Amino acid sequence: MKKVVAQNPYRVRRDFRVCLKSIRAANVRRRRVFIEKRRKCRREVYLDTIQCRKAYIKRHYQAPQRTLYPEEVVLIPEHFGLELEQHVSSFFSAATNISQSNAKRIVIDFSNCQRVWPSAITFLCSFSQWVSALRKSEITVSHRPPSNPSAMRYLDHCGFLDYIGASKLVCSDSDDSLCDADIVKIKHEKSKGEDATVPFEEQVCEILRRCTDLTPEEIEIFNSVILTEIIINVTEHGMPIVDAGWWAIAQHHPKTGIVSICIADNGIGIRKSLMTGHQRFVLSREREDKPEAEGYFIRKALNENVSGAIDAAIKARPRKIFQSAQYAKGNRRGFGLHRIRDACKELGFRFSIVSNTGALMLDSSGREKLCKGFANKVFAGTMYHIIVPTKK
Amino acid sequence: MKRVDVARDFHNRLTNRNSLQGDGNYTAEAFRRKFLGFLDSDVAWSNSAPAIVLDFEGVVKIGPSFANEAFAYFTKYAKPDAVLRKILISNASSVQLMIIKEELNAGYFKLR
Repeated sequence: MKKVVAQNPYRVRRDFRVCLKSIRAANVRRRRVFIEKRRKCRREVYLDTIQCRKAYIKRHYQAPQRTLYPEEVVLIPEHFGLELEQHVSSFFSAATNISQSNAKRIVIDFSNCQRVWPSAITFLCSFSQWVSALRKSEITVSHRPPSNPSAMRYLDHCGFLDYIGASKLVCSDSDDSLCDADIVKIKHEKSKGEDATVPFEEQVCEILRRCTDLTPEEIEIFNSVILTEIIINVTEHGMPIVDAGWWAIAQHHPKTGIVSICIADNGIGIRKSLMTGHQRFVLSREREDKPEAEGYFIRKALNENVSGAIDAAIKARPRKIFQSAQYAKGNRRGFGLHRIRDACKELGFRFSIVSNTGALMLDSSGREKLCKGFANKVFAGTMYHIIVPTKK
Repeated sequence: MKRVDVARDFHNRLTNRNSLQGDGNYTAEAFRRKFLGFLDSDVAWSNSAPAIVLDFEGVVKIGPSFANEAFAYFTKYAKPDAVLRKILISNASSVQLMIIKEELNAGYFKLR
C-alpha cells in the first residue's frame, strides 16, 4: 500500500513561486536576446542605407596609408582608348598603372602616343579629379606632351589641355581632320540641372544628325532613352554626397566611321552601389564582394535588374520588417541600365561600362564581348561609353 | 473633360522619376499628383470613359523612368489599353507614344 505523505502547503507554494521566478527570468533573458538581435539587425539595416553609402564614399576618397615615391612616370601606349577592340587590353593595363601609381608626382607620359581617344580623355580627367580629392595637395599629376604633333593637336582640340590648365598649343599648321563641329569638348559638369544636361544633349544630337545615317526617330530614341537614363544614373548615383561632378565628351571620327560618346562620374561604382542597397542580402549569397567580381556585378545590373526587382521582391516579403523602405513596393526603379542596353541593341550601337575595377563591353548586336574584373582600379568612378556607327 | 497642355502647364522635358533623380524638379511623381491624382482610386476606374487629355505639343522628350512613374503606376487599376483610353494622349511623337506604351506594358508592379 502506497504511503501518502502530506505535503506542507506552504512549502508547495514556495516551490511554485521559485519555479515561476525562474520561468520569468528565462523569459527576460530570452527577451533580452531578442532585443539584442533586433538591435543588431536594425543597426545593419541602418548601415545599409545612406550611412553605408557615405562610408563607401569616404573610403573611395580615402588615400591608403603608404609612403609615396617622389616621382613615377606612366607611359601611355601608342593608341590610348577603348574605341577599337585591338587597343582594349593596352588601355586597361595603362589605366591600372595610372590608378595604382604611388608617387607624389605622377607624370603621364604621352611621348610615344600616336592617338588618344575620347574614352581615354574621360579616364584622365576623372582620374585627375579623383587624385586631387584623394590626396589634396600631396599629389600632383603632370603630363609629358606627345612627340607626334597630331596627337598634341588632338589633346588641344578635345579640350584636355584646357581642362588640365596646360598652355594652349600655338601651332602654325592646321589639321584638316580636326573639325570643331565634330566634337563636344570634354567638360566637367557640377550641376545636375538642365543648364548642364540640355546643351550636351543638343550638341550630341546635332553631331548624330549631321554625321550618321540615323533617322530622326532613332535619334529621338537615343536622346529619350539612352542619354536620359545615363545622365540620370550619373547624377543620381555618381554624385550624391561628394560633389565630384560628371564628365561628358562626344566626337565624330570620320576615318574610323564612328561617333564616340562618353559620360562618366566619380561615384563609388556599380558593385559598391549594389552592395549598399537592400539587394546586397541576396547578391552577397551569390558572389563575394571583391574587386575582381566587379564585372559580374555590372553584368547583373545590366541584365537582371538587381536594384529594382530584388529590392521590390524583398520588400514584398512581410517577414523582413526591419528593412527600411526607401521606395514604394514594386516600383520599377532600377531598369535604367536594362533599358539602355536594349535601346543600344535595337539601334545597333556598341555599349560599354567601365566601373571602378571592372568592365563590360557589348557589341552592336548586344552580345557580350568582354566582362572582366580587375584586382585594381581601372576607372575612378563609372564610365558609360557608346559607339555609334556612322553608316548602318 | 479636363485638358492639360503638358509643356505649358508642367515642363517640356519629362525625365525625372522622383526628387532623387536629376535636379529633382518636374518629377513624374509631382506630375501624377498634380494632374492625375484624381485617378488614384478604384472608383475612378470603375468606368472606361476618358477622363483627361494630355496634350504633348511642345514636349521635347519623355524618359522611360518618367513614363513608368507617371502612367504605368495606374496599371494597378486597369490594363495598359484601358489606361490609355482613360488618359488620352494627343500630339505626342511616335517615339514618345512608344516609350509610354512600352512602360505601360512592362507595368509598375510586375517583376521581369
